[in-house]
Amino acid sequence: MRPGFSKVAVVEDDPPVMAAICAAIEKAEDMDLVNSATNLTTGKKLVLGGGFDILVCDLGLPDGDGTTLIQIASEQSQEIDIMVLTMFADHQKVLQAIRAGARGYLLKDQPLENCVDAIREIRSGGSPISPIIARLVLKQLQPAPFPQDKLAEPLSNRELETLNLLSRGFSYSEAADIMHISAHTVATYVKHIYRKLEVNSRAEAVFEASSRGILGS
Amino acid sequence: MVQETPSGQIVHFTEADFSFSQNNPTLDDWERRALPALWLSDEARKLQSSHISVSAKVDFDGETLKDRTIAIFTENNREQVIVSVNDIPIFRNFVDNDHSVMGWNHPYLIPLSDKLLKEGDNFITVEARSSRDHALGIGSIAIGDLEPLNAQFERQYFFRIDAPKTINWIMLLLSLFVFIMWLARRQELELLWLSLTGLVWFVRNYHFFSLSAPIDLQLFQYVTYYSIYFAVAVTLAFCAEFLKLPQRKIIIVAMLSIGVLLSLSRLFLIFANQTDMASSLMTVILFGSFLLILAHHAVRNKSTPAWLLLLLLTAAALTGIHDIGRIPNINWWNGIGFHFQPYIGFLLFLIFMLSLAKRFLNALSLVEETNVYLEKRVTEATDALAASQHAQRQMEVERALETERERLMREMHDGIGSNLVTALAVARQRNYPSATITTLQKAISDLKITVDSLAPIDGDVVTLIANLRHRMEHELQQAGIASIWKVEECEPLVWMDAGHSLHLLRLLQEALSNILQHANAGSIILSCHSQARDSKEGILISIIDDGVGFTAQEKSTSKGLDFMYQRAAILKGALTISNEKGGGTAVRLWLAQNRQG
Repeated sequence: MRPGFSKVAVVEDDPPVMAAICAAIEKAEDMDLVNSATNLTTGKKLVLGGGFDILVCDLGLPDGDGTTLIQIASEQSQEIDIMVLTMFADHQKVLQAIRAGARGYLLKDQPLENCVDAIREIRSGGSPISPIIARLVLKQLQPAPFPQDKLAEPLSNRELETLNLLSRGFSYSEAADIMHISAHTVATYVKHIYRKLEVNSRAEAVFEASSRGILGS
Repeated sequence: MVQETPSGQIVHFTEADFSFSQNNPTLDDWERRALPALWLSDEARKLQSSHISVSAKVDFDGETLKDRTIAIFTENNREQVIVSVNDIPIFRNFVDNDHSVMGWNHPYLIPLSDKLLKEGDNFITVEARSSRDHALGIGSIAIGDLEPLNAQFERQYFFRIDAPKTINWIMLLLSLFVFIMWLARRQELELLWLSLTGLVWFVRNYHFFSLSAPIDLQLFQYVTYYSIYFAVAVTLAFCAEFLKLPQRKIIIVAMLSIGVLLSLSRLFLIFANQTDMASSLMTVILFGSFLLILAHHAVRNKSTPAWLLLLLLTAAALTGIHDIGRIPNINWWNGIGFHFQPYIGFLLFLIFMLSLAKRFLNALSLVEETNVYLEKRVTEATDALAASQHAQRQMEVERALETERERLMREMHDGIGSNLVTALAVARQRNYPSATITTLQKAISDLKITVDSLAPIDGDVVTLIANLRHRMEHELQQAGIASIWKVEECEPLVWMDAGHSLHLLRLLQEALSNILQHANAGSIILSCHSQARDSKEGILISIIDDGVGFTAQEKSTSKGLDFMYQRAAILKGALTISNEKGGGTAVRLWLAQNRQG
């Protein structure tokens, strides 16, 4: 495996979108399209088969929810970066995907040739976030007033500061200037925040399951 | 013995001639003895058959008292008294041969007419009579000026008769009152013991101030004597109950049993013709042992009431010893000249009652405080309930909104959105005219803004505008326009719902579109900060570009600007669009913090 080289797998049911992504990836010299699927069933096989560093996954598949695939892939390996394909980057879909294990998103209406830039960004450790999503994450991951509600992985002060600036509309580079760090570090913070969101949502799920007696003690 | 007082002279006789002869005593029968002679019963019983009696005769010189207002004062005579001067009876404290009279505690002042006095030797005879079972004795005899004797008499009468009578009757009434209270609250045993304390002490003290027995004298005597044991027992029972001593039931039963035991022992001693000194001592022992229990309790529980009761009872015990010393056949001392006992019962009763009253008042205050506290709790609970109901309704509304939003989003994702995205992808692949692609992009942008307007951001206008900038950043960059972001923290606008959000986003989107299409600008400044207008809180949102500005004609014919004004009106905001001095256009929108009023 060459350093900086990415193996990409794509799951997307819309042929023109799939075609545009595939074309863009194949054109890029630092990445390779290793596999693709157009529905949940074949997508599962693809994910379980492995052999990729990046999974680009649509959520609205004809036979089910793409979130399932993201979760399986995320549980399978921590090394994989997962990106969701979204139409509007609306907070609900994006947050749902991040909780499942996604670390970034691609907008379907953007010229898909640019998707390789987003893939490179995420491989180098950064994640995108919109102000609305930053605000909602902030609301969810704020330090709890009661110790018993303590999050499994609370946000650090620096991460809270980052989220706060981003929710108020500052771009990564503006936020970086304010915090006297690099824009890349801001992007890395966001990725960490996403990871914590996922860990906490898992912990919540485990807690709920155990309190319902599914897991026993 | 002659006593000189400021108001006159008094002669106290320290000795007298005594005779036990019940007929006319001859000269030979008289025998000189010291006064007072309080215990003559045993002697008289030996000499006499039915009732017992004794006469005491004192001599004085009539010359010294001539032409003065004089009187005879005598006290401590048991029980009936006849006073004669020169063999002429001038006073008796009984009618006929009424043996129920008890004169022992009564002082007598007998004014004397000087006509009765002879020149030279005169004599006063005090004859005391008693029934066989009673005590017989001659107390003090004095003659002198009326004024000082009257003063002495009144003092003695007050402390021996008037005051004990008054307070004991008050005590009886209060006991009755307490007893009625106990009937209403049977569980408060202190009330029962208190009323019994008052009652038994009344019975005990009756003989101090009454001249005659209300019932058969013999029976009355027994009742009077034996009641002291029970007076002490119920007093101690009250203390035990009041202090809630551990094992107080046992203590109370023991006290009452000892009372019965002492009664029996006294009965036995009387039959055996012994003095009841032993019973008196045992009463002191009973009292003392209770004091020990009390002291133990006081030390152990550091109880202030217990210490105070201990002090009180000790004082009562000391006065008891004082009174025992005054009993005729013991006769250790005369003490203060009268018995403490009729006061002690009342004092104990009064202090007990006040302690109990204080405790009840405290309990009442506690109840009031508790009521206030409970009312407060109820108010709090009601408020909390109302708040939680409000929150629940709020949640239900939010959930309904969320469900509706999800439904709309699904429609957009699965239907129109998906089709638009596919169309755009196809158009791009096949290199359709740019107008087609732009239109499709614009349609998708509009949808995105609609989606954003639905986000639950709680009226946070800054986030809303920030997201618009985020959405349009790419387009602005492509047009070579730098965006300068100047926002401050602003209070959320609580009235800003999804519909209002959409109007705001559309308005700002239109402004940005105008810049992109017409302004030929190099940069824009996006700002948002709090600003009060006409003393109303609000926020000012502005977009200022450095482009070419616009002409008046453009302004009047532009449909887009019309829409912007319409949306501002719906938001009840103030919109101004103006050319800047240094070139470029400024769009300013002011929104009120609070839309009411």
